[in-house]
Amino acid sequence: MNRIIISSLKGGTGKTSTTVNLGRALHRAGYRVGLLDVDIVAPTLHKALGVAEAPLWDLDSVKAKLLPFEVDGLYALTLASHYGENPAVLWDEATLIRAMQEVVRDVKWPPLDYLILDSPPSSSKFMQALYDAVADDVYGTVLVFQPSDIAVADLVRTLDFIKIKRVPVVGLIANMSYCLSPSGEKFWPFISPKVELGAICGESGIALLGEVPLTPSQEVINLEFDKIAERVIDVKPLILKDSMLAKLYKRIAKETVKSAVRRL
Amino acid sequence: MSTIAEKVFNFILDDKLEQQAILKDLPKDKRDAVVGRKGRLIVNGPDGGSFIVRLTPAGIFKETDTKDIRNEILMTDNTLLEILVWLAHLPGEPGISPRAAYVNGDIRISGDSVLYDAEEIFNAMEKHAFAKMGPIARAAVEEMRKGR
Repeated sequence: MNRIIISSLKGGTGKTSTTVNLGRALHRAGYRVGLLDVDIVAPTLHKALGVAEAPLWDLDSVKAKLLPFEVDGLYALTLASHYGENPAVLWDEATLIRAMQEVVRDVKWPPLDYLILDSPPSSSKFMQALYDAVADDVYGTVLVFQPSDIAVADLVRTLDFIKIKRVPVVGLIANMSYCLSPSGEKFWPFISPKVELGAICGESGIALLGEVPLTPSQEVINLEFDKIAERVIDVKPLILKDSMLAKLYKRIAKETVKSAVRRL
Repeated sequence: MSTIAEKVFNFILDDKLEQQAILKDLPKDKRDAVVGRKGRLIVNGPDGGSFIVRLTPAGIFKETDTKDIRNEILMTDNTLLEILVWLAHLPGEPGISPRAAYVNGDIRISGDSVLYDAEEIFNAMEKHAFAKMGPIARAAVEEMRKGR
């Protein structure tokens, strides 16, 4: 089972929708896929899947296991409905980490080719513990970022974090990369200038897995994710090195200057 | 004189026949694993108390020995009151469910597993205790509020 962590230290980049769309694309490609929401405080995977399924608990078994539910051929697990309707999860960090470790360890998955972990946005001890929990058995991490200049600082932080944790990088998805009008016109509607994540990835050797538009058309999104899934399977995940990051930071600096000029 | 927590706790422990029946329904390996298991409930505050129980083939019994306690449930008597309000179904007063209180951090449960042990406890209470606790919860809420 190949475990993929969907990561971004920035919130609101679309990690959960990427988890679901990538999972569906891999499933369409014939793979057996599980989706695991490891965001214990604010789980949202069930919303993206359009279900309100509670996890099942194999309470009659001596060996404690959670049982995933099945949605459209995908297996998924989120603690959301276990809690009730969107309560504030006010556990201390040690309890949150223990719960996450149990969710990573104690689920009775059917045979899977890929397990995609939807992670929360943070570089807290929780995230460090998550990376540690899967470090020995992870295919790699897929980064999800919007290509705006305000997201770049978080991209740098995320890459630094991943380098320190030595988790292989599968590649980067530029999410909400542009808007697609009903007539097929591409445009950038955001105030924050756009940066070219392709150029940023190109120099450092990190694969740009795809650019996903903002569009109400699920068909367009599916087509993009079918291509992304192919690349995820083909790419050889790599451990980041200082030299790669140096090139990448240099390119990010250039792009940031460009976007600053555009802003002026 | 018994505290409110003790009265409620005694009520939960009262039906030994049902407890025996639940145990009988479990697969043998699970039954073997849970028989002998000990837990402690600690409710802090004047309406609270500390209670240790052991699961035996004849049902759940109180005891005093603190050795080998597997799970501890900790809350204040204010949280207990809110849970009793929830169990009492008082008009206009939602109270709080034990699950919500746990998630909010108002109940702490120690044990080998944060998730599974809590689920085992909540599941057992929801299946076998909560439905019949309305009358005693209403009486307990009234008594607690009188004393405050």
